[in-house]
Amino acid sequence: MNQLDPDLKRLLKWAKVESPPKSTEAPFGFSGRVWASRKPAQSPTLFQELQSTAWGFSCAALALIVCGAIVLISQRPSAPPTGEFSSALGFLVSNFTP
Amino acid sequence: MIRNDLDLDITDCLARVRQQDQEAARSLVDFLYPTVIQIVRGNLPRRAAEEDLAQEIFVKMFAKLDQFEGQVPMQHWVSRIAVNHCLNAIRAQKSRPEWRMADLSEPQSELLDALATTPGQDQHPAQLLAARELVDQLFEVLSPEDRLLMRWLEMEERSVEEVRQLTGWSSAAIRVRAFRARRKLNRLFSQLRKEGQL
Repeated sequence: MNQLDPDLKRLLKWAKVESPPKSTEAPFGFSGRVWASRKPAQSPTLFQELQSTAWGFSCAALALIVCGAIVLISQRPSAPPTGEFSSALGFLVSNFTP
Repeated sequence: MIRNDLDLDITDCLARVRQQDQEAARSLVDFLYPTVIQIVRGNLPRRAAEEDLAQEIFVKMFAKLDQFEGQVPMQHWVSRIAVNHCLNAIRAQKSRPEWRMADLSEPQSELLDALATTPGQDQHPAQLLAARELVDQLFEVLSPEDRLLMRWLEMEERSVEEVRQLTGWSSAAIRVRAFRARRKLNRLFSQLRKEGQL
């Protein structure tokens, strides 16, 4: 650890010598002033409560949409009923076309 | 239950303060005032009233009281609030002058000479006053944090551990910062003396 210059150290020592020691007791009425100027904890207003409720609903709705999308994506599309469709088409062609 | 020298039951007192008990708040302020005012006096920004600063610190303390979990003694918790508040107030002044020999008053210049020539312990009151002013000026070159460290470590001769408890800074950070602050002060002091010898 480095040290201060000895003369500087001596200067600090001289500067430390206090004239009369100051009182460390709180002045009269100090605590009352502090208490009066403090900001008491405020209960949430109606608007803040509505805001937090709306935020909750938004999150729930978003979660629902994401879940639905995941379910939809995870479902594989079934193969088209080509056989049935072609036979029905054949029936229509053979019976209804002139 | 945490008890202290003044026989104030901190836990009970805090519980009552949280229930808006003004008498308990008064006891708490009276109990913590010496701790706070000592920090304020050692780190008072220029042109600031110590009582105003102390009041702001206590208002902040009451606002943050719910965050106090009792993991550290109440005095340490409050001293950290006080230190941060004072450092912010000093930092807000944004004034870090570089001092030259020519900027010093006559008593301060004489004092610098006296330091090198008079080894005696008993100093004239005027010299002590000049010493206080000169030290204040030298410290203004330092950052608020370094200033606080030099005041506590070098002038008040507190230990690193004590500073750690009061500030919440790590021991390593305190040592590194103190090292740099001493180097800076030494450099400035030798520069002033060189200019004085010219």
